[in-house]
Amino acid sequence: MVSVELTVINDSGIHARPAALIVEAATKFKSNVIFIKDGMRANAKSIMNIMLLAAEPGALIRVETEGPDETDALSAIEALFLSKFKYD
Amino acid sequence: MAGPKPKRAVLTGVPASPGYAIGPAYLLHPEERVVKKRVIPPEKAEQEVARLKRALEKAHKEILGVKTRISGDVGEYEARIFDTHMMMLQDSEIVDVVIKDIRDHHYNAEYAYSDRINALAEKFESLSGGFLKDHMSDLRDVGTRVIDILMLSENNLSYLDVPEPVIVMSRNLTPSVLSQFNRKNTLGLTTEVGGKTSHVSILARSLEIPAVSGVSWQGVDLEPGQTVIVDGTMGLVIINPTLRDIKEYEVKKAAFFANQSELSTLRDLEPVTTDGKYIELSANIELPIEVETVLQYGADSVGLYRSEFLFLTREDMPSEEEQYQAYKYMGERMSPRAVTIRTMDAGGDKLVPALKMAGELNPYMGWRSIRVCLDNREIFKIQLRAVLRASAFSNIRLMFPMISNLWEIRETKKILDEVRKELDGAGTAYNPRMEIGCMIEVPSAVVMADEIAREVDFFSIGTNDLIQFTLAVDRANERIAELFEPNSPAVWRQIKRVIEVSRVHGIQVCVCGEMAGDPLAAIVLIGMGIDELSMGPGMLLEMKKLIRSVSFEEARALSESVLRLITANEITELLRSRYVAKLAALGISKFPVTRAPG
Repeated sequence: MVSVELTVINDSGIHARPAALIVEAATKFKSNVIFIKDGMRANAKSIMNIMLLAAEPGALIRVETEGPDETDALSAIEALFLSKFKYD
Repeated sequence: MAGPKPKRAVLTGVPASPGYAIGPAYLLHPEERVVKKRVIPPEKAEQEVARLKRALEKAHKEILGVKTRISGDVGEYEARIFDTHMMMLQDSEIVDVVIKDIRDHHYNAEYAYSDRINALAEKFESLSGGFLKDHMSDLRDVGTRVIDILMLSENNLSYLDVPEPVIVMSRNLTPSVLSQFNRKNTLGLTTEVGGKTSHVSILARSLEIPAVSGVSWQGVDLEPGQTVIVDGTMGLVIINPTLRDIKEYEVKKAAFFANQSELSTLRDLEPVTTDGKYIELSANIELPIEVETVLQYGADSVGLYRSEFLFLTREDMPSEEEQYQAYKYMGERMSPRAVTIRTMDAGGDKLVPALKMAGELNPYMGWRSIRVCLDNREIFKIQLRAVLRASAFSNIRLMFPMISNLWEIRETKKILDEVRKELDGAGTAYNPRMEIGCMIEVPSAVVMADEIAREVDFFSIGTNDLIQFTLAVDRANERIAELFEPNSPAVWRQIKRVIEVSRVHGIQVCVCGEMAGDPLAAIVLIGMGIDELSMGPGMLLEMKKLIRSVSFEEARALSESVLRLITANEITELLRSRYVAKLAALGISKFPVTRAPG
């Protein structure tokens, strides 16, 4: 298992569109991808889970990946956060 | 005590089917649906799960269609919200729980799904920031769509069985759903999408249900059961009408019915011009039962039976026996008059569930009609067998739609021959001289009409498709509805050519598109020498009245003038200036498809 702490740095937080990008990215990997915010765990492969996190701008999220491609999965998610979810 | 008086609102749409209706609103797509909880027999649970999965698949296709349109019209970024919606459809947090509910508690799919959506909505209630509002609207969008599909699905016809006469107000009503409504209790109809030539409008006209399309009641004070007036003649919908509105429309309605009954005296008269030319008048129908209306109006024949309606309202394929019974019933009721059965014309806006037809980007030019049949020969042969068997008993003619080249008609006839041989082998009776025809509705078929004519006994011009292909105007696209111009000289010249080719080859030629039922266009068609006009049953008697008032000579001169003109506006103006007053004097109120110039 590998993990990293990431901050939501876009202007509007993880609303519906970034959530879709996260799910899209996470489902490309075999590993489990878990987001943890304020003690709440969310499966990053489920759009409902991510939406229920309600991660606002500035929110701190711990991302854990576990599985055969855990390092790649983690970097993909990290890249997505750093890109401010591409557009927004 | 009642609350504040609901506000009157007049909504303008497109007149889709003439007539007037006053009654309580029945919202087919209310914001909040009442979802009934039912417990299904345990052995049906897997069927219910399958029904849910089909609904999810259908919702996925619908959303994908919307996404494609939005990304083209608005932008890639805006369209990405639909990715979220499609993911929500597949999300295990929803789907797995719903399926478990169906399996463990034997709930009906609608209830299990809406229950899960409500539970998630409750979780969202606790969210902060802008998330609550946005997430709720996304959740409701997805939830309503799936529940709508489930409730309107073929397995749940009872939903459409409204207990009292109502005005059905819908977003996007498909012909198959409309055809399942109880006709008696459907006073009037409004749809949010679809123009005058969409199939649902055509069906409304043939069922004589006053209808207005292009009506959105969003932002209007409208609750189920409130009084609504549908003015299908002018294309108006009045929500919460005043007493004066209602009185005014009662009068209009009575006048409309009086005119209808006057027309019925015309029933037994012949459709001949004043100088003695007989114009065969026939009807376009979608449902076998409509032959009763056709007989009531004294039509010469059924010029077009749209057989695909047998396939649209169900998830499996109708058996040969079922089709045979439908064709035989029509043939026997109409006998000795002819019934022209058009083979399954699926695709475009008429998707056949059993063929798993996907929404296409350009459906009218896509996998539809004869193309689908040639790709599904076993299904096609079942239909051909049913038609041939029914031909043994009555005057049935067979017609192939959307022929666009010579190979298609030859290949189709080859398949028909194979079926004949199979029937011969089995000693099954059929009419070996059954007439075979094809629709001329693609410009390439007009160009090749001379060659195609050698292959068939009759032509039938499908003007709706011919116009859309000639002018490159999608007839379902409201944005370019103004460009759908039946009076284009490019259209008239093609029709003239098809009629001339028919004369050369001595085959019969009919027009079965919307233009046949348009009084102004019909005079020109008669003048060009058309043998037969086939239209919605509701237009037959007025058309007969019109035919009996004009001479073939005058119509011929008019058609020659039309062919000399080079713009649609000139043609429309010529027809209007010569005939609008005359039509009014004859009391022909039904709106012509031909639009005013400008």
